Amino acid sequence: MSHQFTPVQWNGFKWRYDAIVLFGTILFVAVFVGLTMASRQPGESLAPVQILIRAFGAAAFLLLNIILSIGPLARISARFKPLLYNRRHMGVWCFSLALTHAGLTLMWYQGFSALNPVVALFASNVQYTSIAGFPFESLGVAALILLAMLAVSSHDYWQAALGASVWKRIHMGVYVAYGLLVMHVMLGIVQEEKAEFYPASVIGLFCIVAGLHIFSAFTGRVTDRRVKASLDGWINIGPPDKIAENRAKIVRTESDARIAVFRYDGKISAVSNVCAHQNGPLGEGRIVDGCITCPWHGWQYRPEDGRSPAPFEEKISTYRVQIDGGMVYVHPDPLPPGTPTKPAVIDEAANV
Amino acid sequence: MSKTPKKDEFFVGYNAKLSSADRRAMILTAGIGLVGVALGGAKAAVHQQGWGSGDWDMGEVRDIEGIVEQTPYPVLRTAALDGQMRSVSLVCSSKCGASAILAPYEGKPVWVRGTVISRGRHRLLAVVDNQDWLGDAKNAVAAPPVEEEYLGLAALNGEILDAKCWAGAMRPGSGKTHKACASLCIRMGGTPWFVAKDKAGKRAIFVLTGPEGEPLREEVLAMVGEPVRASGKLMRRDDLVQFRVDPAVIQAV
Ligand code: FES
Repeated sequence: MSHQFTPVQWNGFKWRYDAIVLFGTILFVAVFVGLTMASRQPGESLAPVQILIRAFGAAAFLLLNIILSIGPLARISARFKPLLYNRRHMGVWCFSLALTHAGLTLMWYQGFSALNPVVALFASNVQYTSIAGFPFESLGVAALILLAMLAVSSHDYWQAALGASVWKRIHMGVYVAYGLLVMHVMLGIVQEEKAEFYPASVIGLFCIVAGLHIFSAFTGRVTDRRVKASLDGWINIGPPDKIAENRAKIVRTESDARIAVFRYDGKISAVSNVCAHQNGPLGEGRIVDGCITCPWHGWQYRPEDGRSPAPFEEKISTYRVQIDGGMVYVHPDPLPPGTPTKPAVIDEAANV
Repeated sequence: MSKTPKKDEFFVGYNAKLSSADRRAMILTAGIGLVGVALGGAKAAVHQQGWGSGDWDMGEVRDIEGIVEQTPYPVLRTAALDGQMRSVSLVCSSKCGASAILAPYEGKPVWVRGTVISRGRHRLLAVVDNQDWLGDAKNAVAAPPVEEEYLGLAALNGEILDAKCWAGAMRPGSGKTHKACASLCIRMGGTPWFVAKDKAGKRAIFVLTGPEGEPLREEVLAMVGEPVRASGKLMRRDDLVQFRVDPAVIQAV
């Protein structure tokens, strides 16, 4: 499995997940277009392109809110974890919807003139100092460019090439795009329409997304407090029997690293909690066939030296452990990835 | 390492098999999500404002004869059955203006070919600018002098819009999301109209001009498509009423 990129496999769950997202999008657009046409007053005429512009824009915005809610939901309850797995497909799909919205808008509103539509878009309105007249289109363009970059780099290939933590930092850009889009919607269609439903629903969605993030950060911190090392530098993580067999306990050090301390075959070993593949939480995995197995895509590491079994060559950091007076201690300084360490042997007799 | 998925509940990531509790949670989530999505789409659809009664029948190309008049934007004056003169605004089919091509025909009887854009009593002809659309009139055309009448001073609230978009090229052809479009149309030679609305929501349409009835374009671009207030003179020319304002006194509201 070495450093080249290994695509994550498809499976039935993922297919069903994507099918539901696709169906949801079609449902939204169909209901919106259908009811817009059905609620037309006598004498009014409609422009189908303008209805589609609204339908796709609204669908993309709604989907982005859903996507951003999944992360905190999964942190709040493990039940929602399966939702994490196709988030990236949703992101790419969201970008496609936004692109359709932008393409139709550009073609319809800025096409048909002697000017290039893109030039026309930016030249048409330059009232950046006005709220009533603000060229909200430019906010949408900025968000679209960000979403495009995220969509292109969402492939596992880029995650492998950039390294999981750089990749993750880049993908935090989705929050910038979200902020831009909230303003795009507020200064655009919400300013135009009279019904309170529009500002209320945009602000409502924003509050849900922000609230979930705050709530999950709050509850997350309670269960995952940073643990101080004692004076001699070791962290006490309690008696060995508090760790389930073939499972781990995760500790967060003062320098904000997470360590997975595993118990297996009467021994204790500690490794970094971060999987070398895509930063999966190894401490939520378990030992299978003598190897720590990542819960995300099943990469494996030997607990004693943090190395993947041959022929693979992945390495993660290991940590020193010891048992003293019936307590397990782990040293918070990581050893270089792949460094063999001596597992601490649980002395059953001493434990009694 | 082995790539074969293990049949084990914790392998959420790459194993298709969810625990039955997880599966129930996912089905419930998907169900709630889909109902929410459908409700959201329905609500977003029904709360929209009206789309206006503008219409553009692009299928029916007609030839109309009349007198070309460009004070300040191109119109074709035609005699209605009752003998009254009607003004049909002449606009491009795309986003441009017809003034330059019409200039040599000022005051002359012509035939013009185009498609009709209409909203309420307002008529525009979008000339088919990709083919021959203009020539000397083949029939005798009535040409009474323009009837002009000063109607007084007015201070009005409303929106500056492109005549063609508002009257049917765009539905809706007003409001914030349409602002950039209206501004492009007017910049490229479209006719600016002032769509005034009083407190009761009653609407009146005026041709927007400078203080002496001269054309306005670049001067009003910044104000297009937003709620504004302006004061000036109302001047009737045949069946069109001009709102003559100094662009400097147009204010955002
Ligand atoms: S993150 Fe993919 S296997 Fe660990």
